[in-house]
Amino acid sequence: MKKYIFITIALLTFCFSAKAQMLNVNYQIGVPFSKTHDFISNASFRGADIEYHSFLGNNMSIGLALGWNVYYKKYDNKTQDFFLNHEEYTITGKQYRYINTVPLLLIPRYYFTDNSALFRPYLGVGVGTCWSEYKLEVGQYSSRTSRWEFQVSPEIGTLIHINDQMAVNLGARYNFATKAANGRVPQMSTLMFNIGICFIGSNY
Amino acid sequence: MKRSLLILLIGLGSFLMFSCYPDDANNVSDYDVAMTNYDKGFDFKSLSTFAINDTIKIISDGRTDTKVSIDTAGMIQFITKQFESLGYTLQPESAKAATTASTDSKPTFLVTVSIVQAKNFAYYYDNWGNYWNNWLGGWFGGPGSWYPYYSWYPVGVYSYQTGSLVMDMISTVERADNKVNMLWTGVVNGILTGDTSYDTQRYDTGIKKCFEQSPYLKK
Repeated sequence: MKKYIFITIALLTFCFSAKAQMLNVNYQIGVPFSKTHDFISNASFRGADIEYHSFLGNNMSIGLALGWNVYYKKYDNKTQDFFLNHEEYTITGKQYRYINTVPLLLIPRYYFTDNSALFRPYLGVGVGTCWSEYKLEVGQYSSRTSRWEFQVSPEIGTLIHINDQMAVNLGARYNFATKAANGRVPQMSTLMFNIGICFIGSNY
Repeated sequence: MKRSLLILLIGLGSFLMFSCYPDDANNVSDYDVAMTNYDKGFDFKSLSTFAINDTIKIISDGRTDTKVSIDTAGMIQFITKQFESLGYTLQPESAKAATTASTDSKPTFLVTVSIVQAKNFAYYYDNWGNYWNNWLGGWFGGPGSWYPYYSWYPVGVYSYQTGSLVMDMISTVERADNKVNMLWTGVVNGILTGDTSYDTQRYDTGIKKCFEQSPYLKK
């Protein structure tokens, strides 16, 4: 009997401590900068992430985000030097360049208003890792390098409540990831725009 | 309700992402590349005359059918023209008979052209190819002929794909270590479709690109 009381109390405590939670799915547009821009200058319109945020009090939340973004650019007639079998070759041809990134971030956030407000602007910083794959194809040759990079992503945005259970998320996140593989996976800088929908569950 | 909406959203999202994942090459010509490699320490201005084979060697991995869908004679002429436009002079065929391997009448370099038609053609020779020792023996010590004599393969790259046209530029100056004195290699890498005019036009473009991307090749 004692056991059941203990479990009940523990569950209730958990419920009260996890006051509210939010599931957020975003469509993402990524704009590349610096080294990322050097490799692919085009913006990415192929991206999305899914985020889970748990609220700690009225103005704080901690979240976990998992995303996927694809950058792509085609060059019609590009001349570039490559190493093939330890020999340097100059190759001209159609080039297809891809960057695939899969960021995994832990995001603490601060909200300027509580959940009674229509607009809930927030500031946050995502910290985590990003799996990045750089791929270049020319003719029948292909070069592919992928690594886990360390990523920091400060963000700003706002939730717009539709009702108690749903909200729209509009945000911008600057992703910075460190270089890896001696620069073969260069440091990444992208500005990511998030447009998404949030499902909010509150356990009051 | 919320749950099914979410599942729907994720499903729709992933469908959209996969369906609009950027496309690769669609046409045969999208795979065409021109690649070159050269002896970085060599002064190409020091060259003047050259000789070229009047046929293209087809490397076919023992297959009997060694026909290719390009105009090989036309292609040799085309390559000759490229070298001539760089300021090099084609040593006429008649000079061959007069030659008895005397240094004066030797052209300064030779051009050999081959097409790889083997399915999985992979080989490896160290830098300039020790395999060529045999061949060079016949070449330089032979009966007064410096014209390339076929018992050879292109040198330098680990493997070329089927359909590669390989142009090798070889110095007639013997190396101390008796290896092939390779100066420049131009490879037109593509797929032979069987359509002669289409293939010839694609390979001509590739040959031109090989020369364009090698500005150091100049008399």
